[in-house]
Amino acid sequence: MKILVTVKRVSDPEAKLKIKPDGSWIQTEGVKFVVNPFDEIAVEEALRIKEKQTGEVVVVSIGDKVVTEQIRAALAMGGDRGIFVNYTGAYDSYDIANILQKIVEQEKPDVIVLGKQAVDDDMGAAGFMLAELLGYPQAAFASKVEITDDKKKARVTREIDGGLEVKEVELPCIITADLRLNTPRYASLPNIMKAKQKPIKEVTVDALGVAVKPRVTVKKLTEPPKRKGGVKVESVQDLVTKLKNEAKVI
Amino acid sequence: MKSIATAIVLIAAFGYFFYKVVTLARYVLLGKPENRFDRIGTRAWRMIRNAIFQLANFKRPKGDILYAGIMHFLIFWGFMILLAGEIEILAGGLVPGFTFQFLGYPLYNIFIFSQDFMATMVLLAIVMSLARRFIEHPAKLNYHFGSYLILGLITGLMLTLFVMNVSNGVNPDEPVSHAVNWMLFAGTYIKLFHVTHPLSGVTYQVIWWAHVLMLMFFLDFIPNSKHLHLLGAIPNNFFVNLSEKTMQLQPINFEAEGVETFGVSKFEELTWKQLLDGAACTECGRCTADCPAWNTGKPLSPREIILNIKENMKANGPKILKLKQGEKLPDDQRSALLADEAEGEKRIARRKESPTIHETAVSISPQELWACTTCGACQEICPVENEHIRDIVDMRRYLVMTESKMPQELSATFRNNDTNGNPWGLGSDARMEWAEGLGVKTMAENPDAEILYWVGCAGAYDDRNKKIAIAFVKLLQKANVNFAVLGTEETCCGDWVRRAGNEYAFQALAKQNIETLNRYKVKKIVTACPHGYYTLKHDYPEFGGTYEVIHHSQFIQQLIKEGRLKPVKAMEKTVTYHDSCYLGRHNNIYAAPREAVSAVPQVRMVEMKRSHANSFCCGAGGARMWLEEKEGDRINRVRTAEALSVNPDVIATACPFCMTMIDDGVKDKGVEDNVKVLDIAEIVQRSLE
Repeated sequence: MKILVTVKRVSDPEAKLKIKPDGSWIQTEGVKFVVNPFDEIAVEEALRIKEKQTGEVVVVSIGDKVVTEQIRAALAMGGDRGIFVNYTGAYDSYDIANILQKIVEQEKPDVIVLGKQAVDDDMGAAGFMLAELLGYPQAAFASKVEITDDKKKARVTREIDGGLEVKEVELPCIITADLRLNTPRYASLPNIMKAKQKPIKEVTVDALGVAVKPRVTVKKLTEPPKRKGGVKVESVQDLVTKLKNEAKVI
Repeated sequence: MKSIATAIVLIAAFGYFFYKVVTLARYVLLGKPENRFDRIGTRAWRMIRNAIFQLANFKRPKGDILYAGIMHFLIFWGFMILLAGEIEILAGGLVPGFTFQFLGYPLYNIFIFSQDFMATMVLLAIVMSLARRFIEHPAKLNYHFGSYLILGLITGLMLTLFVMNVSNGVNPDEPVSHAVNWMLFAGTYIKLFHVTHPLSGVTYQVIWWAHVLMLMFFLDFIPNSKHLHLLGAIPNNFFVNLSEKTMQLQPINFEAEGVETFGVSKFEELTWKQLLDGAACTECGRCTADCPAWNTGKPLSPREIILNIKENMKANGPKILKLKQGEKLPDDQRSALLADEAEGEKRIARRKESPTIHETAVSISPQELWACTTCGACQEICPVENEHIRDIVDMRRYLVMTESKMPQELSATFRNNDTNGNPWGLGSDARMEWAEGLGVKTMAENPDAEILYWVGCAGAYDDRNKKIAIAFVKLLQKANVNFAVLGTEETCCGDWVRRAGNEYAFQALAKQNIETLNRYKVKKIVTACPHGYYTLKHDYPEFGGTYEVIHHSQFIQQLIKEGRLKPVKAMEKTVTYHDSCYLGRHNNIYAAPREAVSAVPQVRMVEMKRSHANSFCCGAGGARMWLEEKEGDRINRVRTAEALSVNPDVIATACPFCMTMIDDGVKDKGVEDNVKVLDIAEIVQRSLE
């Protein structure tokens, strides 16, 4: 069974981000970059499927040369090989879906696992678009994944409002990973060392035959307004008056 | 005839004994090299003091340990002295009529006195031992057949000796009869019961042979039982860890070529000293009796760690010895040292069912390894100087680095730490936020600072511990100390990372911090965290970072002594101080925190039942801070209950982990309105003008 899994390089969610003076993007100096946490969960799930079924896990990432760090991190967890799509310009979710479509057509994986969204822009659209482009069934926001014994279907549990939904999708399919799907493993040292030798194939968007034309662009980033300090009220009466007159909530 | 028979018995018994001992020694020597041959004089003295003077058995001379210590003293010295008599008996079997009479009478009389006296003392010790086993019945002991066999053999040996002494005492043909008045007990027996005739020749020979055969059986039983400690314990006291580095975790060279596994999953990957520990173990159970994990219902028994390694060595040793050097035994042909989680679950179930009976096995399960808080109580009390912690960490290393098998929450914490340099996983750029508005300078801003204050992750990120960092900074400012911090250049010191077995990540952290510290030419470091203290002081020198490291309790006490801090405001409170394992047992700092608190006017200090070297862990050491505590009672609840039992107003701590655990414990009991948990820095700071 071949499993394709995607990883996106994102700024560390714990880092305090500063916006560039022109508001075009964040300042990247001194910021640590990591594998998108939902993608890490996707990698873990891909590895678990592989360990049960035997097969291969292929890791894909798009960006400039530095994203190979994130591919290596996924390979250190146990991925078998990487595909690095070298593209340094701007792109949107639809471009990603287009690129991934071409890679899926080449690789023909049985299962494609993505993080449900990237924690930097929180778009969460690429998985759906990819399913649409490929015409594959999809199970988004998975909290449990089982491959059926005949290896023809995936049984996916999703957390929905007020309960769980269990879906069965035919392979090949697209699964996007939710937070509670699993806890990603910590790479063992021999695997970290082996990952350095694992192949990463570099491809360009031109070679894939994709013309990147972002239809969504970032116009401006602004920081959220600073929270103003609160005030202590003297009495309940005071509070009621303020809520009525100043906050106008009662 | 008798000479030939004796010779055959002796050759067979000693032959078997030496064969077994040499075989065991060869197994031990399969271990990796380790230098325990420095400071020979100190080692020799430790051995004499602990073994010959038997101080090893009086480490905490109270209750059962005192009782057992006296018992052991009698048996040890009984056997040392009776050895001379046994030589006489065996030589007499080989050469008819041989005695030590040639020594001359004054000396021979003393010899006769000593044999009679010590034989009776040993019998007394056996009675003490049986009383202990049947009446006191301590849970820490092993009650297996071997123990009773040994007690039975010793009783048999002493009784036959006594009967022979009585018979010889009234036999004018025996030289003993001339010294009968020197035999305190046999002599009294003769008088009391008017014994006049020696035993008949045949009866005497039967008793003589019973004695000799029991003695030889005992000899051969030694290498096959816990009595192997007769051979292992004394050398183990010589090869004791003399360094201040209590855990002796060995750095791994990750640059080495061709190394594919890290840590220990096979007995021969331990050092010879770690293997010798098994031979030294007497199964006294003091380690397990003091272990916070065992005492709260976890499957970990430190004694079984040592014993199971020994059993694994005995199970695999023959196969490994047979193989040529360099050749490896296929893993499926050996008994695994590391059991799987399923086996661990079985042991957890067994622990729940029978809290007193431990079973030795050839393997150790991950659940046992992860239960250890590295508090060091086991090592502290061990009479034969066994080192349990590094065995556990060595095996954790294998699980973490080679197999990546660890509790889920730990892998998440490792990830946090790898990315942001702190186990909470908060942004590395937020490390200085605690100090906002305090006017604290970084080393970059104040390169001439005399003292570097190592804030540590807890002081920088944990809300409760931030308050302690702030209190300590106010103290330093009050005392006009020229200090600085590393600010965002500081990263996790790596304490829990190393204890958790992630040596690879630890070395990266250590090297990064040492590079920073050396760049600022830091000489003196003060820290409020005993874990950082241990790591900076004892672990960093291995990687080129040597500093004078001071714990804040010592520093505060010093400032008070010098008059630079004057606690004047009275605190009319009862305070009990909880000893941090890493400050106390691992660094011998007991007085400084107590003196600092006592300097506050009107403070009443009370001690908990277990304090100082006998203190009970809070449950957070050895990376346990980041692990869920699923089995049994929570260690912090047990310790908090103990603290509350002395009715304190304040529980004082000197460690951020202890603070968190005890604070949680107090809240858990719902008494946080009446009992405050304060760091010693906070107590002293509140007392300043």
